[in-house]
Amino acid sequence: MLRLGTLFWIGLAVIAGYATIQFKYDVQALERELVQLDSKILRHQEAIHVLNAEWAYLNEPARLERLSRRHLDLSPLRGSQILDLASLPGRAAGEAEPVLPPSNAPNDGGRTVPARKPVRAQLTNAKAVQ
Amino acid sequence: MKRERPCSPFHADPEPEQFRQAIRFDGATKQALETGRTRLLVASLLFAAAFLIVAGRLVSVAMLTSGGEPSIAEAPRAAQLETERADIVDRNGTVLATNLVTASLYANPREVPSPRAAAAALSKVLPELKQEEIEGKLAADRSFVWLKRNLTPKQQYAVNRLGIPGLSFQREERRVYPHGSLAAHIIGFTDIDNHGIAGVERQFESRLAEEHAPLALSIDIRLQHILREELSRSVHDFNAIGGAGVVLDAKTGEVLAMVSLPDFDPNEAGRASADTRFNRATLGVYEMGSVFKVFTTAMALDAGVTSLKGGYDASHPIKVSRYTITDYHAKNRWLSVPEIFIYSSNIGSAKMALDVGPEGQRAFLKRLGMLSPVALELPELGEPQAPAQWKELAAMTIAFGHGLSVTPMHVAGGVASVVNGGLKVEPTIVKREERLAGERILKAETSDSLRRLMRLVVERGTGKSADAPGYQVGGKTGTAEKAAAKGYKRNALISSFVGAFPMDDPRYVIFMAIDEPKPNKESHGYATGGWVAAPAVKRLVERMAPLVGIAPVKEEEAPDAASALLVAVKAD
Repeated sequence: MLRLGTLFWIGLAVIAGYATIQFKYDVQALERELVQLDSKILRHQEAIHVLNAEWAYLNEPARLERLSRRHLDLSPLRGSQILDLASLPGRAAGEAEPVLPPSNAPNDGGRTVPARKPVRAQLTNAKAVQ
Repeated sequence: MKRERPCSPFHADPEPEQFRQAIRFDGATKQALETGRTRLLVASLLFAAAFLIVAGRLVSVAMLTSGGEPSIAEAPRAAQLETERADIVDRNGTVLATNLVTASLYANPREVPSPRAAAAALSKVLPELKQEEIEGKLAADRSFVWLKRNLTPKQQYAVNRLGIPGLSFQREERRVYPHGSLAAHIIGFTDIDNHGIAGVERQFESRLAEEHAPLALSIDIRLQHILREELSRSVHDFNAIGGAGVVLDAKTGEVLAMVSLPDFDPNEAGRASADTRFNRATLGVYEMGSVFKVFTTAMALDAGVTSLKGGYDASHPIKVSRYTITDYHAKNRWLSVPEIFIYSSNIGSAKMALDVGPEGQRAFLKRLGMLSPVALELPELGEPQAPAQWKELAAMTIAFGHGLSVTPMHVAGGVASVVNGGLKVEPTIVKREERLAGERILKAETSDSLRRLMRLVVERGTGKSADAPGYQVGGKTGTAEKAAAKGYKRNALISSFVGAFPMDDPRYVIFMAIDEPKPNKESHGYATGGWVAAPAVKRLVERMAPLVGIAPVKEEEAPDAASALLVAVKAD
């Protein structure tokens, strides 16, 4: 009986020792990984920082204006192009109230949501008028 | 044998017959034995207590977790990128100035195996380096030479690819201004060691060096671009030597855009000339001419010396000692106060100022901030030049903007105070969250009258070409002859326009001044504020209004300033 008990305790001590060492190695590995991730985060932050600067550089208004003039069929918005709902053509005088969207559409504080995206065709009309 | 205790082992009989004699010790020995036993007992009790404490602590640590300890281990905070100097951003967060990490290339010539081959390869990837020069550096018997500072990442990669031993990089930071010259006079620039030596960089040196959060300015880079473009167009069209422009939020005093032309690229500030680095908008002081009539009229109306229905005789020039005050757009008749304002009559304004008196005028302009540098957060602030003798003659000339020199920022701030309801505006270059309650300078009614008068100038007076349809621009033109060594130069003008819109509740104040414009064909030989600066303001308003979300008002719905004033403005 005495021998069996001793063996049990020795076994337990060996297992505990092994487990301790194993945990220690695991933690060391995790710490190495953490350090690597940290330096990776720092590298990414540095990259983001550089990209932010580049983004600001690429968004320089004069450059955007140049690109827009070259590639887009758009010109700066003028006051005369802004109309209110009441002055839209094809609308009777009494019909000035905006037509509300269907009830399932989100109602954001009484503003009306356009039923569909505005189409480009209007622009060419506006151009012809110029 | 009969045993007294049947369950105890036989040999453990405490006093078996045969040993009874043998284990009986005499006194001294027994005493020693007893002492030993007691000591053993005390020691074992102590050990037992110690083990009990250890066991108890073990249980308490392992099983009964106390509240103070986190159940999950805390990882050390991930490292944050910290540049030597904080970024500067505009009011919308666009980066205006930032620090970029660059690499500087140096070499240990003793480790470079073949200077000739290395120099040849390097000059191929870095064309700006001369091959002979590098070869000389690399052949030197030293252990350190700089080859090139601040390489781009691409250049660094290219050098690394060469795989030449003995070359290394030093990590450095460099201040970069992605928008180039766009806001050069506001942001300023730094020296090679990243210390601010002009503009915001200098003003906020310790803030930028110590804190890491970006510094948000009041500038809107989009408006800045529009202002710069329209101003430089006028400067170019009229062949002027420079210009200054300011866009101010009339309520908070935030500077939304500020341009001084000619300008420079802060990325290469060392190469900029003194003239381009000079900030005409805050450092240059000029006699502003008729835009000052805004202040004169406000002062006279507020003091009650005249009213919108009052007027002055402007049929004859005023002669004071050797000076003669005449009208540029002379009408040679009695003029009502609105007429004096919209036709920019010097005679009428001078008489108005005389009615208030030199002392009253001086006190008023002082309260408006015209006699001290503006409280703007920039190191480049001009000191106004006021006459030493503020007598009647000075009062009359200052009434129409001569004799007192101020910066364009003074005019913009002063007009903002006049049109916003009469509360003093302190211009600021830093983003301000809420409106600061300024000191009251004018009665609300006076401010209202001035708003109508300024609208009238654009509707029917000298500022017609500033009328951006629908946006109710109001303003006042100004044309001042530049002071020379003796008297004034007739052909060297500062032509300006100060405006605000929308005039029923002004949100933005705009001031543009063109330095020495020359007349061109389109302006029919004129180079006055109405011909030079007013159209630029119109273009600016038309472009900025949709950006800042101001909807145009239909002409027929816009209030008519003239009828609202209930005064007869005679058409010519």
